[in-house]
Amino acid sequence: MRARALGVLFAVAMSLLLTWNVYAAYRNQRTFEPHEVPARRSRNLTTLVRLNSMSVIRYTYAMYYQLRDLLSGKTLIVPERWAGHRYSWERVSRLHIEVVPELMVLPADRADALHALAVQYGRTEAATELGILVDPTAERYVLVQRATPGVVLVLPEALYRSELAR
Amino acid sequence: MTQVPLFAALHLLGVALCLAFGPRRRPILCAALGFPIGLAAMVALVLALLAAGVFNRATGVLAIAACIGGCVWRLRRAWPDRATWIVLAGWTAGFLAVVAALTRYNWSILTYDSHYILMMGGILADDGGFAPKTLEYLGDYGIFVPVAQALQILTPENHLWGLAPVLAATTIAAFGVLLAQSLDALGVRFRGRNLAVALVAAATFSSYMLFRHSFYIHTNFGTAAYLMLFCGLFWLAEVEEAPGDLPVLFFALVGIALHRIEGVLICILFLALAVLPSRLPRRTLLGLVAAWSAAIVGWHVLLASGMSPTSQFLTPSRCYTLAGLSVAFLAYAALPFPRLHRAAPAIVAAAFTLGLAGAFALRTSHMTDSAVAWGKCLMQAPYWKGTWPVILGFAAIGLARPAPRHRWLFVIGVPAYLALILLLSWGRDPYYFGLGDSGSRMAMHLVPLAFFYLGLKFIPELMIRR
Repeated sequence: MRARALGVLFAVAMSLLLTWNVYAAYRNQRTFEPHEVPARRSRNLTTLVRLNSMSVIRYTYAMYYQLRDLLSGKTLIVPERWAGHRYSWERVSRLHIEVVPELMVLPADRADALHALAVQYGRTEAATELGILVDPTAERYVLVQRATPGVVLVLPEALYRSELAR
Repeated sequence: MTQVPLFAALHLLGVALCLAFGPRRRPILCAALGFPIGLAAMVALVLALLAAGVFNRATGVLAIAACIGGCVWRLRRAWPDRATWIVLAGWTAGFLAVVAALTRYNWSILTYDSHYILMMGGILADDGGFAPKTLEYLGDYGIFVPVAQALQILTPENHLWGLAPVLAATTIAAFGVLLAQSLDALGVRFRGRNLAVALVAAATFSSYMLFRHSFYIHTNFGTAAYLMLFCGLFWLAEVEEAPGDLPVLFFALVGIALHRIEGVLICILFLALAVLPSRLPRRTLLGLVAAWSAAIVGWHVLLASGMSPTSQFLTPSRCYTLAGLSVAFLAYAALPFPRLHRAAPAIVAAAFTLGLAGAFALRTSHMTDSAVAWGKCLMQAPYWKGTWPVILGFAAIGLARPAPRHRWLFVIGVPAYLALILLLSWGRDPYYFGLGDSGSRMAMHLVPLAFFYLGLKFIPELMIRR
C-alpha cells in the first residue's frame, strides 16, 4: 500500500510540475527579450538576421550578407586593420579579398555625402554605419573609412580614386 | 513545407538502420528512433563527404540512398513481417503530419551562437569541403549542428529552421516509446501505464529550458536527446540481453561526441558506466567502442590539422588529447580484468568525488562561486524553477526503494555528469546566474535522462501487486 502511495505521489508531482511548467512558459514568453523566446519569424536567413533584436547579429547582416547580396564574386580591397573579417568576407560574402597595409580614408564631408547617397539608393539602411555604393560595371571595390570616426564605405575603386583626386 | 522531403528521408534512413542494426524486435521503437538516428547517421556521412571535399546535392542524395540500400540488403534474409510494416507506415504518416506542421512557419530562436552555427553550415554547404581556415572556425563549437545545417543544400531553403523543433518532437516521442518499452521489459503492465508515461514525458519536456531549446538553433537539446537515447537503449539491451541492438548505438554516440567540444568526455563517462560493467558479449561491446574510437580519432586528427595553437577552446594538442583518450578507453575496456570492469561505477564515483574535492581544495573561491551561481540557476532561475527540485526530491525518496537492474548509467551517470559540469568551470570564468550561462544550459543534458530513470523507478510503484 505504501509503495502504491509513492507511485501516486510521483504522478501527482508530475502533474503539478507540468502545470507549473505551462504557467512558467506563459510567463517567460511575455517577460524575456524578443530574441530569447520562440516566436514566428521570417524563413529567410538574411531577413531574419536583419530584423534580429541583438545588435551584434544585425551588424553581421550589413557586414556579410548585404555584401554577398550586392557584390558576390567581386574583389574587395581592405586595409590590414580590417583583415580579421577576411574569412567571413571570403566564405560568407563570397568576395575576393586583397589586403593592403594602409588605411583608405575620405574627408568627413565626402564620406557622409556618399553614405547618404547609399541610403538614398536603398542599398544601405540609415541606421547602419556601413554604406555600400554599387556600380554594375565595377569589378573592384575598396573599403574606405571616414577621416574621423564614423561611417565606413564600400565603393567602386574608380569612384574612390576620383573622390581622392577632387 | 520544403524541408519535409529531407526530414522524411532522414526518418526513413534511421528506421532502416534501426531495423538492420538495432532493436528490430520492437518495430515501434525503430519507428520512434528513426529521425534522431537518421540525422546522426547523415551527419557522419556528410562529415566524411566534407573531409573528401565532395559534398554536394548529388552526393548527399546518393549517400542517403546507398545507406538505405545497404540496410535493405542486410535485411533481405529476415524481411520484416506485415505487422511491422503496418506499425512503421502508421508512425511515418504521423511523423509526416507533425513535420509538415512544424516546418510551416519558422519559430526558431537565433542568438549570436546560432547565427555563427548557421553561417558555418552555409559555408560548408557552399564549399562542399573544408576550405582553408574553416576547421579553425569550426573548432570553437561542436560540428554536429553546422554539418546538419549544411543539409540545407538538399532543400530550397538557406537554413533549416525546422531542424530543432523536429528533433525535439521526435525526441519526445522516442522518450515516451523507450520508457514504455523499458517498463515492458521490467514486466510493468497495467491499465493507465501509458498515460503515466505520457505524463512523465510531458512534465519533462515542458520545462521552459527544454521547451525553449526545442526551437533554439544550438547544441544542447541535441546532446540531451542523444545522451538519453544512448543510455535508454543500452539499458534496454542490457536488461533484455540483446547484443544485436548495440550497433545502432554508434550513431547515438556520434550524436553526443560531435554536438559539443566536450562531447568526447561525456561519451567516455557514459561508456565507462555502460560497457565496462556490462554482461553483454565483450566482442560486441568492444566492436561498438572501437568503431566510436576510430571515428573520434579520424575527426580529431583532421581537426588538429586545421586548428590554431592559440585557439580559445580546441588547440591541436587538445584535439590529439581527446583522440588519445578515446583510444586509451578502448585499450582499457579491452583489458581482460572482469572484476576491475565490474567495479567501474565505484571507480567513476570515487574519481569524481576526489576530482571535486581536489578542485575545491585548490581553487576554493573560484569553485565555490561557480557552484553557488550554478545552484541558484537550477533552483531559482525562471527558466529552470521546478524541474531540479523535483529531480532531487525523488532521487532522495528513491534511495529507500528497490532500484531497477543495471542502474549505474543513471544513478552514477547523472551525479557524475553534474560533477563534470562543475569541474569544467575549473579552467574558465566561474558560472554565473543568467540565461546564457553554459553550466545552466549543460544541466539540460541530464533532464531527460533523470526523468527517464525516475519513470523506470516510480511508474512501477503505481502497479497493484498481488
